[in-house]
Amino acid sequence: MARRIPLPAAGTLALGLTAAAGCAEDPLVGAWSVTEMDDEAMPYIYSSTYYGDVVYSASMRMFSDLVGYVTYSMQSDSDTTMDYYGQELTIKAKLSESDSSRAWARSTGENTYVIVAAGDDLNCSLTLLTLLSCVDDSDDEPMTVILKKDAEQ
Amino acid sequence: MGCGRVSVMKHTRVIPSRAALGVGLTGCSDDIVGEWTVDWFDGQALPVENTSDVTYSGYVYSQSTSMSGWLRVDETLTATLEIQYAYAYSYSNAYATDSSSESETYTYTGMVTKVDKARFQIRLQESDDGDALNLDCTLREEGPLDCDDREEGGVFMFSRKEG
Repeated sequence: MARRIPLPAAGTLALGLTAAAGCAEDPLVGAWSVTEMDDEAMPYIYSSTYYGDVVYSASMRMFSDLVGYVTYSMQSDSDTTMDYYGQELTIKAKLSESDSSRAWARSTGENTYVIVAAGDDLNCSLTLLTLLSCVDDSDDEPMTVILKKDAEQ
Repeated sequence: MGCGRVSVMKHTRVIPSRAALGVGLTGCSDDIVGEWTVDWFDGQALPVENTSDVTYSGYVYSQSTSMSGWLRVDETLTATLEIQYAYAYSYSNAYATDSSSESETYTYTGMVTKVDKARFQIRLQESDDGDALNLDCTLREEGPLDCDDREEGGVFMFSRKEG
């Protein structure tokens, strides 16, 4: 005789598994920080005489349809006093600037993508779902970019 | 039945809780309705709050720049986008002082057209010079209203105002 009594727990589990399989999100979706650009560690800090440490950073955010944006930011917060031709010069400044532009990604294989951002075509590969290594080899000097996925908030 | 319309009920007696449920189900408002903070305006992050003060040999120079904005969409899908910009400069020494400041509010008004559940077109026009802003927007599951300027290609991003 066939068993007709439903098993709620099994049903819930099956639903959960179906939902998980059906709604699996592309690992590219989320917020990413650029940790290296052309062998230079990011954020890149430039120590300016007048404006103190100027911090340059870059990031990317990708939504579920693999459309997102890239952002380049500059921030400085200086409180500097120095001798300037025998007189005391004091500079207090807070400056920040961020520019975003649209980015699109396309899967080209298992854990590989082409990301088009700011006029560049980046060929990217994903490692351990949290590290994205990209190269733009369309120019004579290839540009490399490494991004790390931000912790989920 | 579309959102925002209330059905004419044939029943003469209405159970209050059921009536409330009916309005709740049929009178749904669009998710885009409400107050939004401008996070990106044509690719530029807002708000901007830049200041600098330089003191040298008895002279003090100060300047500041600020920029912020908000978007409001009401139940009739009328949209208002306001961008506030301010700049101030001052200079002083033992003998003289000088200062100047300017502030400007740019107001864009227009309408939102719903394309589908999560996509909208926002057509706006600036009140002074008639500058047009035609945005194609996606209401992201993650929260932000993510828009592209159809003509110029800039990125506009809005987050829902808290509270």
